[in-house]
Amino acid sequence: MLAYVLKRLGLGILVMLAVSTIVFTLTNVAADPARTIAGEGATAADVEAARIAYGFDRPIPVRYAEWLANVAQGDLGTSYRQRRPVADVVAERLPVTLALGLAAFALALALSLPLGLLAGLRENTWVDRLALVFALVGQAMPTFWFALLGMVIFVVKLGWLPASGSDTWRHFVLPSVVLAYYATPTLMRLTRAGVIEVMKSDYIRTARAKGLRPGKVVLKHAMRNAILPLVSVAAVQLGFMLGGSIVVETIFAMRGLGYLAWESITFSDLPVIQAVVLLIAGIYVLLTLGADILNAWLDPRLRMG
Amino acid sequence: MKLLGKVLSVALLSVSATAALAQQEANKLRWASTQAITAPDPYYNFHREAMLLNGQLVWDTLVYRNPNDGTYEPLLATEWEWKDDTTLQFKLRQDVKFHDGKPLTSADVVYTYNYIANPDNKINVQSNVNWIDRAEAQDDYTVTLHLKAPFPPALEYISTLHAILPEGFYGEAQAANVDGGLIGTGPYVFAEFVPGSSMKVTKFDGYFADSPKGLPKLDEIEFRTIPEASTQLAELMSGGVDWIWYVPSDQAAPLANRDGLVVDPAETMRITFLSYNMREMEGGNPLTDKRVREAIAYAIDRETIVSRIVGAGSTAIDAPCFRTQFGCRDDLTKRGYDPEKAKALLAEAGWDGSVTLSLVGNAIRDRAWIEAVAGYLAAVGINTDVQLLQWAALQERVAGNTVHLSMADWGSYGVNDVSALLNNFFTLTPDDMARDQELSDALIAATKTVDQDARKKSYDFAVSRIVDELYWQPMWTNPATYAYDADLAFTPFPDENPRFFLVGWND
Repeated sequence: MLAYVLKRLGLGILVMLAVSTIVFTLTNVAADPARTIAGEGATAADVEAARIAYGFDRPIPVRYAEWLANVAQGDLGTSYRQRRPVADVVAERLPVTLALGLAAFALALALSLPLGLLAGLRENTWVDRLALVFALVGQAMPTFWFALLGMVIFVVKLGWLPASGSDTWRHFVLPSVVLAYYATPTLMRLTRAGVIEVMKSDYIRTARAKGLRPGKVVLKHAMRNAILPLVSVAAVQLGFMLGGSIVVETIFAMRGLGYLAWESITFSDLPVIQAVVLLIAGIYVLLTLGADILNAWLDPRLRMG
Repeated sequence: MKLLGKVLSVALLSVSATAALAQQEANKLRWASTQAITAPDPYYNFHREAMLLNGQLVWDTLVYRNPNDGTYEPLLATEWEWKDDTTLQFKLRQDVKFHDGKPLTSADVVYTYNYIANPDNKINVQSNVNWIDRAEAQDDYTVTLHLKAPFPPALEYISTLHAILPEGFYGEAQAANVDGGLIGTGPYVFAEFVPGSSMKVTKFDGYFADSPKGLPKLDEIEFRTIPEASTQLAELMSGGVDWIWYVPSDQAAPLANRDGLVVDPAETMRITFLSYNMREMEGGNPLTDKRVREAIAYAIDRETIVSRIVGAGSTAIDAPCFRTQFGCRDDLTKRGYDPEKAKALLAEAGWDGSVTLSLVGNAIRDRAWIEAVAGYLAAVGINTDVQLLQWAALQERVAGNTVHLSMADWGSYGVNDVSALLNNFFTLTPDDMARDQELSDALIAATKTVDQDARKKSYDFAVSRIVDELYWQPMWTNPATYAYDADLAFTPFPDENPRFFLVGWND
């Protein structure tokens, strides 16, 4: 098991390295960072001044090697835009995204697991149909639209919730629901499919034949196998949420990682873009690893093979 | 996404709003804007929002430019005098105190100017300061500012953009100290700053009574960044904020019908123009034929675009500058909408429609503006390939000579002098698509003398040249639409500077 984990971890580091190389190259090539930094009102002379001041006149490989060496020593650099250490900039955005991501993920699971289970157990009944329609609407409705709809009803009309910001728990309600609803359909359908498949298997028939109570059959025997495929997908969904949803964070003006990524990209704040991408890649690598371990624990065949 | 957003915005507007909270009672103003404040000081910012809040609420300039008539009035300096073309001397007020109680002296002014003029300190907009050589103190209350060369609009910059900081403000770290170090002399005291999100200032009780800015009327001003326009509307209607600006024109009309809100479309100094590429391009450039440029000018119905699309607060213009700017003139060749004349000119030029002209625009402006222009051009047989680009990418295309037409705008930083506009585009810099040596010489000459008559003469020539030779087709002035609580006493000015130090709640 340890060798398995170490191997996956090594692969993860390689993935992060590859991602950082690609991002560094693309952000430098896609637009001239000196022009973006000099700003919209910049003259040609301002742009040249920025180019020299920030060292963009040097070749990309040289700058990349320098950046990598610094990161290896734990120095993520200084934000061009905020003139503060990148680590501070990212660290102060992390709590909002973590809170939003975890709340949305918990909500998505709390919705999708029982709904999926119910739909799977009552396949082709009105309960199943209703759950599927719920999923279909969630999948079809763009996140920003749902967000604005929520705002019309709960902010402008009812005045129950604030429209923007991330100061109190009330600020997290609407964004969490919006983000959760985005993830719910996939999780629900997977649970439903898993339950339908498992309930037809021989060992469930055996369990029933033994006279076990239906609740025990479902929860102890069926669920454990039904959620196997769900674990990997849920890890990816959680990764997406913890990476910060650009759309949700921007609409609700929440100071999270997604919004930071968007701000940094529009401004060519390269050190921050690099750090955010590295962090998100790291989150994905760890979550995928976690999912693999969890799956191996749930299904012994995986760790034997 | 944009269309759906618009539909929803209308939905937002049609529901009944909860009554706005009475901020009036708290004597507090909360305003929101799309852009974020990234640094809490006036010189390391990139957006007007930051510069305005910091530069004029927390800090003062030496001279005050009266927003009503553009005249200069004493602020931190009681008087000033040009000693020669490159030497400006200021006498300071002797009763001004910083927020921490320390008196303002020459040392503070000298520190500020020597700091911002030093390119090693990398303040963001170098062209705002790179004409300053150094400052020196004559005595405790007299400062001399030495310029590198004559720079006639110097007072425009000094009176609007050069906030005076206390000596040692940036310290060794070259960064403002957010914890207690953000000290100024302005009418409001820095209270709180959350990077990228919000900033709060509170009333300064020790502000000098006869300041042209007036005594602060509000107890607190809070700024928040809200990137999404629909969210800003929701906040305004639910009483979460009191003031927003740049309300999209399609949302302004329904918003205006709501009780308790004022929608105020105001003209700004920012002008939109279409620049013609005059350089030879790979595969030929039909725009080098003056008749084609003229045809384009006649083909576009600017009046209709202004009234139907750009909206209230905008005016179609014939001059390549804003009318109040020094050096601007209006007695120029006018080319009104005349599609038949456009077609005739194109026929004369042998235009067969085989070439598609590339037309680029700034992605942050409304797509409908540039599409309307493309539509009018198509109607006379000129096909265009429209691309909306980020400003940096647009400039690269212009500098790289890979674009025929560029539709852009420029706000001159609110500087009431055409040097802040035309010198950026016609002095043979990489952004100069006209490459006219004589024009460039005239514009540069106008910045090398403080003789106003000589300057006027140079600009008269330059402005006429741009219009006569069709280097630019001036289009319209950009509007800024403000929306705010009806109880707020607010006055907009054309330089896109909402002067919150003048704002208060109506009794």
